[in-house]
Amino acid sequence: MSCADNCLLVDLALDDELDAVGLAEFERHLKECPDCAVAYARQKALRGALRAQMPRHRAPSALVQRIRAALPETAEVLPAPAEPPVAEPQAAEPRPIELRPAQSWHAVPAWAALVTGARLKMAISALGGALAAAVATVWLMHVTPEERMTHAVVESHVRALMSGRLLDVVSADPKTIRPWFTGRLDVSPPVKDLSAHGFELIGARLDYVDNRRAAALVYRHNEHVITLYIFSTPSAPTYDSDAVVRQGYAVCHWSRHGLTDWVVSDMDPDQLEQFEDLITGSV
Amino acid sequence: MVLPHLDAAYNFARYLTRNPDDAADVMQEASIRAFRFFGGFKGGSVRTWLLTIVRNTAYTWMANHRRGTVVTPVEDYGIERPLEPFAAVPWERLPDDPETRLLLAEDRAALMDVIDRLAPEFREVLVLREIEELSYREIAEVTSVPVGTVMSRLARARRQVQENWRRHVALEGGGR
Repeated sequence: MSCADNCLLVDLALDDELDAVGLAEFERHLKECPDCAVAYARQKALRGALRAQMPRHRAPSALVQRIRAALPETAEVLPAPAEPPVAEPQAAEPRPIELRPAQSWHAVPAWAALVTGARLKMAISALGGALAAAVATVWLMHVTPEERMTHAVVESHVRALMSGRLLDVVSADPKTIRPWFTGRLDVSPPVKDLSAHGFELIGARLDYVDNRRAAALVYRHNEHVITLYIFSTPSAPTYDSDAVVRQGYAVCHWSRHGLTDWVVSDMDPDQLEQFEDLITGSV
Repeated sequence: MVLPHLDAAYNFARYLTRNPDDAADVMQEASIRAFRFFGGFKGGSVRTWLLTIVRNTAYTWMANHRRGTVVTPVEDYGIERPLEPFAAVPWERLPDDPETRLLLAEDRAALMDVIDRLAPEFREVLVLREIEELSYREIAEVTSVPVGTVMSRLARARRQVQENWRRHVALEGGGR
């Protein structure tokens, strides 16, 4: 049986675009059809390779600054967006409302009990400046998968420290820790001994972050505890990043050879980046 | 300060234009358009909406600023040809097969080259899927084509990358 028709199914399965029934059928088919099984394995390998290796270009900071600098100017030049049509039935009274933005701020509450929805909308549309600011906020502050992950790793780190369940396996020896993950994870996480650099490996645990299993390796540096989370394929699009600070914890992440690493600690961001260099570098 | 959408937008522009200077110009223009057209934002994902604007800006921009660069011809390496099966061993244990080399490659420039050679309609779906991890529906929204088209373009894009990478390995690694 030629499975040319199933080529697309391979992609659909890979992209989580099959529903539960379709997926079950596809899995059954894979068991019977070596061609598709091979095609699926290869596509999966390719996907992992692409995600690990395709460059993720960060916007150059000069460009970001130029764009941010242009925002207020742009907002002033533009007419207030989304001017509502005056011809709505309730707004039959055609008198135009000519309020400058600063006045309308005060005017709105006083009218609130009286005005129709349409009028309120007009008053709001007069607040061009405020709306532009809101646009900028949406643009800059919208929660991305990356932000969500940052939040998730900080939460996991803090929870582990508070609950006292920091370690499932206590050891300073990578040769003990790595095999411990066999059968618990779909990756065999690389474990580095960094004691020569002042980062002491104290153990590891299996953790569950952002709906995925992760190897959590725990290091100590002076009085600081560092958790290094290792995920197999990235579920969130990530850009190799500088360390950021959230809730007093420094967080950074990167990818290497198909793995995604997230690290969190109460150390200085500089020290955390030094740790990153040790983990990723050819030390 | 984290500007996550700007990174996503810039990255997409960079892949579309294949050149950092052009990507910066496109971004600047796209950001102005984004603010001008914010009234047209109907809710949903801001990222998808922004990527749509970046894409439209990039194509308009490229049409107006052809810099005499030769557009790489679209080579069709023949999706119809069945892929020859290779040993049914997990790919991790095949040190010399091209996918493994791709996975271990330090040579991102070569991979970039392979991706740059894809026709734009294949390159964009690949970037949106593998880097931005958009769903088919979201990709369809950004690229203004039906979901079915997204599906087949993505499949073809992947097969072309695979083929081209194999060629690259074969040409470059004659001794291997």
